[in-house]
Amino acid sequence: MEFILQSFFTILRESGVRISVGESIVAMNAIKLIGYSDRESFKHTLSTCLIKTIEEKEIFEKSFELFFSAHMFESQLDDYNEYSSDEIKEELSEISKNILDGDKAGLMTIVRKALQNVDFRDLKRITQQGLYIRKVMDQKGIRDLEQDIGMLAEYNFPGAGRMTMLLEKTKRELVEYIDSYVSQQYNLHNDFNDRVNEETRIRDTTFSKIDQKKASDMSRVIQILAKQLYALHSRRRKNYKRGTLDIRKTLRKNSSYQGYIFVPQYKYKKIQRPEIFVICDISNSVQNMSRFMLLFVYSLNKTLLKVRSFALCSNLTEVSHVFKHNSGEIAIDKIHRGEDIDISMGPTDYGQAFKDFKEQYLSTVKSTSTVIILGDARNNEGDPKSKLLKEIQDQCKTLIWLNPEVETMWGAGDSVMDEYRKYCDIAQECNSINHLHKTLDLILRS
Amino acid sequence: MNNERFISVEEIMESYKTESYICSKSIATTLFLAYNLGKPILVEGPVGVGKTELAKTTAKYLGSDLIRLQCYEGLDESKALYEWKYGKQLLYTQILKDSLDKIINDAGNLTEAMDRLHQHEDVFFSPNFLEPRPLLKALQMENRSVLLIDEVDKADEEFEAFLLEILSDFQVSIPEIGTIGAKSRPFVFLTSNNTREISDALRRRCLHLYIPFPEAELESDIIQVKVPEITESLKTQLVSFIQQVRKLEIKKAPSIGETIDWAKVLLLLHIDKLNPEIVRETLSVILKFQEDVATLESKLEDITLKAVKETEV
Repeated sequence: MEFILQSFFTILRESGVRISVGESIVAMNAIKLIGYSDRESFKHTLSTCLIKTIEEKEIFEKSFELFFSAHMFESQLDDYNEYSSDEIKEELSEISKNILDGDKAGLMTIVRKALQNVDFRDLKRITQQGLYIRKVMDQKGIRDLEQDIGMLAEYNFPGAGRMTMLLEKTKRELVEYIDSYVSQQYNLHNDFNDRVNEETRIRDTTFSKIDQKKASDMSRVIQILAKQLYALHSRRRKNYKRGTLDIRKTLRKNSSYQGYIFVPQYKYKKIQRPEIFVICDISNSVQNMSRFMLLFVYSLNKTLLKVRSFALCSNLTEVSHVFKHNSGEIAIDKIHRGEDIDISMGPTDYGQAFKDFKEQYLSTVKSTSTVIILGDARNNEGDPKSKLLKEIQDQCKTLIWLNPEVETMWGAGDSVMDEYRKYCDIAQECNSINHLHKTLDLILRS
Repeated sequence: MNNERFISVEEIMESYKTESYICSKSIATTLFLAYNLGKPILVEGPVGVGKTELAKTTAKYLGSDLIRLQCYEGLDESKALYEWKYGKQLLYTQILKDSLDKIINDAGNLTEAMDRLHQHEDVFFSPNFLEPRPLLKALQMENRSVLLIDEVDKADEEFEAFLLEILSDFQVSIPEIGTIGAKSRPFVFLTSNNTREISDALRRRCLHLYIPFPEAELESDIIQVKVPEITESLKTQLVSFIQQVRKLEIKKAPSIGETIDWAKVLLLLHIDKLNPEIVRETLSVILKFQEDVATLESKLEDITLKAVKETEV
């Protein structure tokens, strides 16, 4: 049984569940305590010892059902003793003996060994499945079963018929089992390879090329990257740390008690978290881009960043409150639909937007804040009012402009990027998750 | 310690029931394993499914003390593990000035005086001046205690790292004194509401238990135990109603605790059958956001009728 468990662990690992050696030992010990008799308890036990997140739980459920297919636990092998003729049995191979004796563990061991001998790594196409089933059935141990069936058919003694029937039935079940195992292997290996490649690819995908399906993959990659950034920066950004005894402060505080010291004082350390203002153009041309920027920013833990977000189209308005009350994706959808916010979805007017920002929010921008503007700077021939952008730049620490268009396009047509970039501390092309990731990393570092 | 505890999964389910805690088989299995393997349990799940209650019940069942450590942002060693009683140390140095004088008075020179002091210095860094916080307290208990580390996701990640030593070896290192091992291994529960991902290192050291919202049947059993006076039909209607509400897209789904409160409220009002009016009036017991109430409003009649129908069949 230990062997079977080990191969189950391997399957889980290949499906992306991280199982340490320690955990597998715990699981083995736990199984010893619980026993195998009850399928449900058996499953709970493995789950509780190995599966540590809710996402992994789903993978576990699937793999478990596939791997420990129900017939392993139900005793459907008939008790055969009344028909068995020991002399005949002696001539049969080990696998048939196991079947006739109802020794399922023995049978499974043979099957496992056969499965192990077949290299599934080359299984690339689903059409190859039949070939691989054959390969397994031809392995030493299992091959004997077919020979035995042929041999028994020639004998003529009471019970031989039933023996053959039982063997045939088991053979059919075996093929079924191997079939499901092979397709599972196919899914496992191909899933795994796909996933790794997919992730790297997604990071470089241009935002404008994203369809609905990829968008959800993208969000997943964003979550992962956000977590990485968090891990990287959280240590430095602990906002309030209670420290050790502060001797100087203690002496000062206690001087009023005739020099008797009994009220200790501690060192406190306060680290400011960076405050960023994200101004997003939410018009159609930049929608995807702003979507992922917002998602990224709000995926970062609140302890790391203080974020205020603004939507920009024909005018500008604050949308931070939408994120306060809704989770990321929902909030972004709401903003794009213009729900609950005071925005007019006419032609983009950066000049007007900066004017709104200056009048309503500029006073709250501190000299330590960072302002990020996302937009293509296509102003529809309106007045760019770049003086206003300069005022914003003067007020904040860094002004970053992220433009989804390639740099050569800046200034072409109705783009006023050339005008604006004079007042930006950083002006960057930004149209993939990798770009976003780099920018945010930069902000957190500063 | 009673040796007859935790002998089988079924026994746990039975005994917890007598302590008014209905646990499903997966919960019981995890408890059984955690106890027998000496592993901590990491309990996750939505708010109000009885994560904290599980630890409390376990303490009651084992007849041992429950030591609770509530986590929050900024929690650190000095609040969780131990702290020197600085005030006491300072005060004692003042009070003991005379005796200190005596020790060094007849010393010939500075070196000798220092030597003499050195012989006594550890006095101030001894267990007498140690203020044990929950974690250390749990390790020092003579009998096996139940240690509840509540909402571990609220604490900083550094704190998690610091928990690792305690959870895997059940010992703590205090620089001035040395390593203190556990007198008895506490039975550890960690709970998390998933506001932040718990690190893999911590997860690896624990058994994992996910408690979802209960199925209708289980919830019905729980209400039966907690509010035994309730009538069968009202209970069925109540559970059916709540189960339907949880399926709606609302901000905060009603927890078991709220279901129980609602049952009590209805009992107090002498209601024996749900109707839309009563539901509307008492809705504030189960829904805590105005938006949720608004969401439910349009479907309220349907849901109530469906719930009532359950008992008529």
